[in-house]
Amino acid sequence: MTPAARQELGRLLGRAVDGDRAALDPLFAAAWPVVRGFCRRLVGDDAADDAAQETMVKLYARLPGYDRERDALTWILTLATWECRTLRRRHHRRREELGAIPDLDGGDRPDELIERRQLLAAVADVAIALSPADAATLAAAWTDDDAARAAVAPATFRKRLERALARFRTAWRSRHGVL
Amino acid sequence: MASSDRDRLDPRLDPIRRQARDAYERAMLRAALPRLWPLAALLPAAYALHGAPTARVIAVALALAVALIATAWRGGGWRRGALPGVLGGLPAFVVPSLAMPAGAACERCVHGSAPWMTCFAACLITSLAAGLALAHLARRDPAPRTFAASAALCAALTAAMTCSLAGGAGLVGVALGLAVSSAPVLVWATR
Repeated sequence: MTPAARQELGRLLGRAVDGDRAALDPLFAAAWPVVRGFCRRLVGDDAADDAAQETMVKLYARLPGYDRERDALTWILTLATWECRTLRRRHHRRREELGAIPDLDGGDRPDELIERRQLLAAVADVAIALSPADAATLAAAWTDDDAARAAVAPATFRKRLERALARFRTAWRSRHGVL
Repeated sequence: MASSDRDRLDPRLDPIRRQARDAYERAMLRAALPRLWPLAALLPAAYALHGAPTARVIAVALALAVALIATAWRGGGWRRGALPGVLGGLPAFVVPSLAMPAGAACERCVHGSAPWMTCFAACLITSLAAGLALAHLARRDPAPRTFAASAALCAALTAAMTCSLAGGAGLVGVALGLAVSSAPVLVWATR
């Protein structure tokens, strides 16, 4: 970011803090590419949009408390760093929840084991990108979690599983191209 | 086209922009709530000066609360003018209790009587002075018109908290005083 653009960002932030609604859209236009690029470097391309969105919402929600003495870009990137950390932790937790996916049937040869692990990792990666409700339904189905299944009526669970699998297939196709 | 221009036009970002704007408005509203603090001092003072708070005093206090929150939420000159406006309304807030005989006996206030005329004149003069001071502050503000409008509104409501029972004499005084003294500011700002 050029010094002039950085200065302009600070000026827009100051106007928004002062209640100037006309500065909100230009501020978004100036901050979004910076935040998106920063998040992409921290959490990768797939999660960058989510992290950038969270950062922008947090940024706007915290504008009234912004201290004008602080550097605008540093403040924005600090918020982005926190959001990326939160997102990474959330993904990590969901990965752990999905970690109990039962092993696939197959041989015990080393190459088959590696293949199975790669496939399971790919399945978990796609599953954590789904909504928490879909991920929980799939995890309950794959791990034969009777407690989670018993929490809802069998017909409801079947319906949820059907929808979650449909969304999983779509997500898998968009990422890997085949199913 | 610069990347920021592309993002400005990208309709896929509209939901995020809307979400961010909503978060901003909610945060501005939350930040406006502490601006109600003058009421915490004005209400007991109004009670002390005029006895039991009447429905009108409470109604004016509510209107002032809405004005304080709205001006703080709106920001800019509106926000900056609110507190000076409350301060500017204080002379007319106090004058009726000093001008009326036997302290702040509103029941003794008879419209058209000599004490009432004295009260009205005192309110008018003090409000004119307050209006002049507010006009001076408004001239130094980056947004003089909104500053003056916000200050006039808050001053009138502050004064009306005690003067409402005296037939609105104070309110008229504040309004007249601010209108007369703010006119040069408004004319100056439009040039």
